[in-house]
Amino acid sequence: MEFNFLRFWNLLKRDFLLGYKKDIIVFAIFAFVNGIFFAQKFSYLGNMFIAIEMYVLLGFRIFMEYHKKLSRSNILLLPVSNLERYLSVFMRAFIYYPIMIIITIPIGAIIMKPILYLLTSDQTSSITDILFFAKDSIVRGLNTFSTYYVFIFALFFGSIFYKKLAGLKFPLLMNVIMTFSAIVLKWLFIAFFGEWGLFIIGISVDSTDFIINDAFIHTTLIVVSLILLFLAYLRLTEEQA
Amino acid sequence: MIEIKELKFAYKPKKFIIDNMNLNIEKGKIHGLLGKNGTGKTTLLKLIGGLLFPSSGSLDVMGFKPEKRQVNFLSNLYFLAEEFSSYDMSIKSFVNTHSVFYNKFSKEQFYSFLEAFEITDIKQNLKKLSFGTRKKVHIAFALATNANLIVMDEPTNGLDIPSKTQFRKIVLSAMREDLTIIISTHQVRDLHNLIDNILIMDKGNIILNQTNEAIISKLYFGIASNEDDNKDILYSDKTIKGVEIVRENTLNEDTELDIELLFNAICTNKEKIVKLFNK
Repeated sequence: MEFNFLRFWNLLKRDFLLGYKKDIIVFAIFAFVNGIFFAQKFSYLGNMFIAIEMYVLLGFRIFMEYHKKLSRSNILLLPVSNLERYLSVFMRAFIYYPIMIIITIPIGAIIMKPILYLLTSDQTSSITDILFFAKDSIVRGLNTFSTYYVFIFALFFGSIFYKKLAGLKFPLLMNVIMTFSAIVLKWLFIAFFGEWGLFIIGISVDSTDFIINDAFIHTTLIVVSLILLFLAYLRLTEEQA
Repeated sequence: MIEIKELKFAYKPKKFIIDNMNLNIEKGKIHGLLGKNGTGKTTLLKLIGGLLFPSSGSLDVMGFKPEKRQVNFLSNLYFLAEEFSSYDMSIKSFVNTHSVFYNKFSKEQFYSFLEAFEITDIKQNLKKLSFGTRKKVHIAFALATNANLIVMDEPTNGLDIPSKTQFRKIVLSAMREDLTIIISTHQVRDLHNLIDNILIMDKGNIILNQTNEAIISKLYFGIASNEDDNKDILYSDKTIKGVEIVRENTLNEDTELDIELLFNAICTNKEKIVKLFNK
């Protein structure tokens, strides 16, 4: 695996310059939306919006050059290694985009608070409030990322797996796989234990089992996430144009 | 420079676009890759550039396996596709952000080539340029990389007549001993006085791989005279100048290679001509 820091830095700069015009539009929209929700303490909705924003960015704004045949040739012929190509998108997805989303929260809140004050005559508005909500929002934003990490890694893989509308196709595929797996699991459980109800009760009643299962689930999800990241790398090495 | 052995490639199972190809391409020459539409020229170039992976067989380009996409390989190769996506940036930004990946890139050369193509405003956005002008920028960039292998797929498509002449001049001026250029085209006239070696593709294979000298030593190109026996003529075409013919050059006559006539002759009398070169 070839890696050269200077070359990688040049690739990051190139990728940033190619995408920044559209990124600005996307982040302006996010700042507006985040501003409305976070400035009004709608914490639950705000968290949901962060998740949606990550979904939009990872589902539709990464691996963009790999989605069309002509632009795919450009990136595949660029004298950089596959690892550098991969890491450039990785940095965009997991460092640049989360940071930008988090930045749009206080900026959006500061801009939207006075506008909302004019529209709704909200007397509690103050810069201290806004900064407090922004800080609170960032913590909640980070929590949101950590809660949905498997989904985020799955979208990352889906964006290189599918060339068109990856953000729609991959969640749909995951939904189908999960539904199918649940049906098969239920069918197997009934076949072995005769009754589905036992399985439900077994988990909900026994607290020790529940803790073990929880750790097991997280370990599995972390392993799945790493596999998805590795699969995305393999997929990139196999890209043709 | 390029060594291809028993190469096969198919987009769909068992429908081979490249079928058992064997080919050696020498370095330091300009090779013209000719062929009708759909014979696999672009596919072959993409395989050489590592944009496609072979189904079977081996492909060695400058000592590298193209599908591995190693940095040393890619920095010594420039692939100019027939169509390309345009970058949403100025010519200046494009050259600044992309030249850094090519160790031997010369900005001086790039700007001189642009000047030769009469492109002076480098602040113009590539996306807003005409297809022909964008192509000129990419041709200038390709030659300024000073890569050892430059692959051009239909480089003259979209260029106006003066630019085609300019293209030939620029390519010849950029030629070096260690540079190999492969130009694929179906507009054979555009390669006049430019190429050293002719590769002709047909049905997924190379049917002719000969230098200009080897071709004129075997074939005569000219206007038919009364002495020309109809039986010896491999191809003829009525023109204003008279009847242009291609026949076997049995008497080692002086003749000038006419790529278009050669190509048409091969299209109509393939087996006879191929046999002549395999003697």
